[in-house]
Amino acid sequence: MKPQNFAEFASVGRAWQLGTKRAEVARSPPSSPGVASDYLLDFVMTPAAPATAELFARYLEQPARLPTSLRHAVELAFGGEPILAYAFADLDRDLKLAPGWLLLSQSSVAVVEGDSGSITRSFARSAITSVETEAGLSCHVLRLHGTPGQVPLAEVYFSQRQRRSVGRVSLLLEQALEGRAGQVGDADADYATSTLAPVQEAQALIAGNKMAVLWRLLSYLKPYKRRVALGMSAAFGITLLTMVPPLLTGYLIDRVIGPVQAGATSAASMTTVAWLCLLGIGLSYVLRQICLWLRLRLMAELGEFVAGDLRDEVYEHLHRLSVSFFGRKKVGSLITRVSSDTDRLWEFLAFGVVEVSLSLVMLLGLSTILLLLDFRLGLLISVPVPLFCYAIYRNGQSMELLFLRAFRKWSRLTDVLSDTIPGVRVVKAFNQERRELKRFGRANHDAVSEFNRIHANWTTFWPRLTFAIQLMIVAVWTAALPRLLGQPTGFGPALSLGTFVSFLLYLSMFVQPIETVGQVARMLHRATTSAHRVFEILDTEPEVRDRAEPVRLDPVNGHVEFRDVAFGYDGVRQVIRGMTFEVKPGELIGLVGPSGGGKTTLINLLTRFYDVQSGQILVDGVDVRALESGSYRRQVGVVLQEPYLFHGSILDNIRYGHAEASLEDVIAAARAANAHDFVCKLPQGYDTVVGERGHTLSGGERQRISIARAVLANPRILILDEATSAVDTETERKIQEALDRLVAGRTVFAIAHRLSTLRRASRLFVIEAGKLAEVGTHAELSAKPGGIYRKLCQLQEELHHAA
Amino acid sequence: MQPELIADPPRSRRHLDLPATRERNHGEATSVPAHPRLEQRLDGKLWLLSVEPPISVEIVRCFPWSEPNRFLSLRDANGEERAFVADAAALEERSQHSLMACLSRSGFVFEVTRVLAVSEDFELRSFKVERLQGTRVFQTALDAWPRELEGGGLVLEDVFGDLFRIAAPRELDRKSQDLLSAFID
Repeated sequence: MKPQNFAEFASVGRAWQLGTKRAEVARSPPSSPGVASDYLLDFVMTPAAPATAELFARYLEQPARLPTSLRHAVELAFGGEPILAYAFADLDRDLKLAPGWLLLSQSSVAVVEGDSGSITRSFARSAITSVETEAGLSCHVLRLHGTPGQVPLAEVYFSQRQRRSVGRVSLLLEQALEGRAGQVGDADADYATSTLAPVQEAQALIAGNKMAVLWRLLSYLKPYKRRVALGMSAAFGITLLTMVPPLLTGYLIDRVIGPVQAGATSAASMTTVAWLCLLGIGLSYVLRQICLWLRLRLMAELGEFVAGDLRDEVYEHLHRLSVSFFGRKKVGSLITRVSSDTDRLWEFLAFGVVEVSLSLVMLLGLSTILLLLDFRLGLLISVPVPLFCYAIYRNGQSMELLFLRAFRKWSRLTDVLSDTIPGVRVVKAFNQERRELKRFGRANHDAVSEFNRIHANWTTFWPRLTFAIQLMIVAVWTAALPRLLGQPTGFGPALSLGTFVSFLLYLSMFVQPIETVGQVARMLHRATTSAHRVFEILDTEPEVRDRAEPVRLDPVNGHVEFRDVAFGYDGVRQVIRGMTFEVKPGELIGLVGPSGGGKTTLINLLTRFYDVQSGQILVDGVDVRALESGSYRRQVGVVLQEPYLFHGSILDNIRYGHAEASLEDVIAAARAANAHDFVCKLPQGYDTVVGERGHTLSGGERQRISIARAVLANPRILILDEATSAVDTETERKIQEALDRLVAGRTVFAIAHRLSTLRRASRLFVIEAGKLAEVGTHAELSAKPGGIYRKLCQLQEELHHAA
Repeated sequence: MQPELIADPPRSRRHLDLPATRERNHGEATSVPAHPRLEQRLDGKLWLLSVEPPISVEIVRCFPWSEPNRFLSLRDANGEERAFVADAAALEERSQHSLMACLSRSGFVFEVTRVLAVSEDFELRSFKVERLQGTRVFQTALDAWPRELEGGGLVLEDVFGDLFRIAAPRELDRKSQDLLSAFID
């Protein structure tokens, strides 16, 4: 019963979820009682939340949580202390896949190696003097050191897959060594969340079942029930009406034309019947066209309505999501979801749903009619139909493979383009045009070859399929001809001409539904993939949310306090480590320090783009998490290093945060931002369109527009993030003047690498490695021997002199 | 594909007469030893003995795929280069032994011997592969194409950042090759 590897562990787990016999076996008493079998049983029988367990089994093939028996054994060894955090380690010392665990309680650490489920090492946390992680390509080693220079207390080997969960445990140990209390949550949830995060970031699988996704998509049709019913009725009407002309044609030949030509009856007596048949054929065509028009119109509009609803819902939801979500997802991917994916869903809802059901009904209807008309010929035609559908399905699969190859080659081609077109100056400067031409030529040739393989495939397949259908017609003729000639064979009695003509007409209708049904799998796959991408956004909960009854601070005074704040973007690497400070209203705080030290993160926390992981940020004595974020953010202004202007006029851009501002106020703000003069020099003044496809402004001009926007918004707390770093000296002077006006009377946090711009700051905060390393005025810190700020100033002065 | 891989391998390049590379450390020029003495100690770490006092270092391969045992940068806890090994073979035996032991860890990737299944899921491509130590399932993003190495190998990076190398895709069994056909030129 003991699983040999992770895959076996997980397959048993999956069997449990599916309720199969294998799980029954796992539940049965183990042949040799012991921890190992308990270990397996625990993994199987103590599931995490169903979705989590499914994800673990499906993607990771490793336990979804710590087995209960192991938990009990370890807690016993810890003297009853509960486990605070744990991680799975998947490599052994020889770098072979081997399950293991690293477990942590308030005062102890335990390491479990191998699948025995017994503790390999256990020791007091107080024995740890340092924690260290050695990072490799796919193998990391966590070392818990005791006596320096001696064998570590524990060495845990793990792949990148376990990096976050091991990192969490390591972080708790590091925080304890620094004398800080780490944030401890539910150990199982922390393990699951940190381990699954990369998969969920790539996919965020909410509904793993394609059918569930499909049903959910179809549920969007509910508000349009009447339209759906009408559309579907029209579609079924088309199917039924399509069957009428061949039937009447057969009747006309056998019961009208045949007897008249044979002299069995007079033409006059058959005239009315003949014209009625013709009228029936004509009427069926007219009604069919009406149904077709109705179906196309209703379903096309329906698809648009649903796609429009989805777009509205997705876009609205996107604005509710936290900044962290946008950090995880590519912009292009999000735009695609709102645009192309919803469009693809329109295609599926408008035509896919109807076409597929219509084709199925058509095939069934045709087969039934043919069997009723003549079951022998009917069988001859109906039996190969599933084979044709299967052939189309298989061809679709091989085409998918070929398309995959083609997309890969195509992406190489676009890589060359996206490399060389933006970088054309470098290409020319280094005289590398010939090399780039060769690169492009090679990629282009590969792409052409690959697409030609696709063409070779389909141009071979479809003529073959058509030929097979034609062979079927020949087979029908072969079977029918003796019967038509009145020479009955083993293949049935004499056959009337009318029946046979009906047959041939019905036969011609087989091709299109066969093609559609053969492509159902591909169509469903495309639709469910798009639906999933859309639902993924809809199902993502914002990480930063307002409480049920948020506090509304209006106006904000600008008193800011950080109390032992800790934060890390991935929950593992701490970017802010226990930061504490207080800023009074009206103070100008300069944030300085090396890149990556945590300055921008501090700003992100203050604006509440992210929530702290531990500690508190208080604004006017209220925790920012308790504030109504909309009202709070309206009173926090931000001027970024790379100002962003929206497509629209300069007027719209200045008014962005304050749409009802008067034109006088806009001009006053522009004057304060030193923007008025250059705006007036533009031919269309404040009505000049800027942004994407608009008038090109220089970096300094864009910056001054963004300052004007901030002036108009009149924030109580102002954040300047490298606002003057990307401009020349003269522009910097103008921007600095504008900023001087802007900061008056507000609490300001200004990040700057050019330290000279911060000399007027009330205080300077030197931030290094996520900590507040130095605090003081420029004069105080410049005079501090060996200080970081003093060193930074000296370096900049040296650079200035060297320049 | 990375453009560098199309170009000639570094070894065949003409050596240019460039000024010696120097790292700047707080404004002071420092040279790094090219033939450092190294030792793997009881604490499991690699120690650089050529500086006083000795310090523990981590190895960074400059060319992990094309020259895995040459051009190794040895960096201290602050990430600063403290020694540079142009060729591990040029080190004295003990240092070489210590270095190689640590390199096997830091350069470890999953070596794939068979491909058992490739399937597509929402946003992800799932691979089930066999390696010497057993099977492993991993996922890549749909648009994360395998990287082609000089000499025909493939490297796949999963969503966690783990690397899976297929040294000779053309020498795998027929089924593996079929499953990989979309990713081999």
